[in-house]
Amino acid sequence: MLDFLKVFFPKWNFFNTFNHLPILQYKSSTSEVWIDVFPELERSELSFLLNPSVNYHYACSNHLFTWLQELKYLKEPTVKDIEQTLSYKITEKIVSFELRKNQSIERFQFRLLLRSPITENEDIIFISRVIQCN
Amino acid sequence: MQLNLMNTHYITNGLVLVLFTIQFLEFYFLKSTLSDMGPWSWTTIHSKFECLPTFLKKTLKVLLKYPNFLALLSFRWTLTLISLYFPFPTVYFLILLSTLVFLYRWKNPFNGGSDYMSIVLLFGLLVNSITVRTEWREAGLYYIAFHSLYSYFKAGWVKIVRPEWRNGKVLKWLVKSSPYKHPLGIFDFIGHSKSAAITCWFVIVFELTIPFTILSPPVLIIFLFLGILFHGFIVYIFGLNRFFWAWLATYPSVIYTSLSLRSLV
Repeated sequence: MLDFLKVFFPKWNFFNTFNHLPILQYKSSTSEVWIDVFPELERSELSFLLNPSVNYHYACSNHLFTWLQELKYLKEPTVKDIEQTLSYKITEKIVSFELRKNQSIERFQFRLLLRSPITENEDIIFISRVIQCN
Repeated sequence: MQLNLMNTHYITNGLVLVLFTIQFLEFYFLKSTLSDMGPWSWTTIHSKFECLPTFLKKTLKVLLKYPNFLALLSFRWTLTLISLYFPFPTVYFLILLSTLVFLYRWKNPFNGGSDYMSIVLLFGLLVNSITVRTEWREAGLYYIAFHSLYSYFKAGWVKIVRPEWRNGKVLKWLVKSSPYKHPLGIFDFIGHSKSAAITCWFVIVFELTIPFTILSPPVLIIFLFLGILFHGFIVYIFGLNRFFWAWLATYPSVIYTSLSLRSLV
């Protein structure tokens, strides 16, 4: 009930942390090159009114932040433990969904890493097994 | 035009309609992400609702499964249009309820500050419609004004206590964290420590002082104009279009509150 009431008194926390950013990358099973799932976007003149691609980007980014938090709290998880979580399943589906749009990749891996926007240093957090693209 | 209770309510309602139109169209363009082939299909996410009572689970399944979810969004949009002509409490209550159900589906991903401000706007409009007593009706607009000004002040406070904001170094992080490609001129600008620091302090001072401008309507209008420019800049750098419209929708209530305070003096 308290959580419900909190909706009417938001905290208004914006830009109060400056962490590394979670980045999702994929590679096909036939390549060794990791590619960002979400490349940089081009601006559109209509972005003041309609900006679905950017809002989708932020939705995926927020989801990755949530997944990161969950991974922090899992005690020495195995890959199987992680694969059971809802956040993992959504992440796998995000990657499959993006690959189905533009690529003809049959099997892929994805990884979650943390990248500093300033130094470009990267820390790998998770690498998936090879997955069949549906 | 002098702002009174009725036209403040009407203008706010109109801007909320613009916001919900944008949201509806964006979700329509993104409907494949909600479909059974998408990342946030009902078949994927339904497990997080298992803790709810059976009746609620079944209701949510009907409302939130694709394509019913799009029907829920168009229902909400239609009600918001109706509320312009029939501003009755029942209409606002249904809009608020459908918004809460819609947000519950996402919990984290799509729920940003603009979604929370939508709740504030709807609740304020609901309170404003619920009684004929002026003092109670005004409370709805004061609630919206409070959250609008508090959101700026809180953001400013968070910034002023952080050295990265005070020295301007945060701008590089912010611009590089944006999903857009940026023209090189921006990086030259934020790379220059003085211009970055001045920009940050301008934002900090604006956010910390705007709540106090409510005591002077002419000064408030200037600050709200700066707010429009500020949010426009946010759209340009980050693409956060919904923030622009959500915060713009609060401005009539802020102006009304300022005029009310002025009339007390």
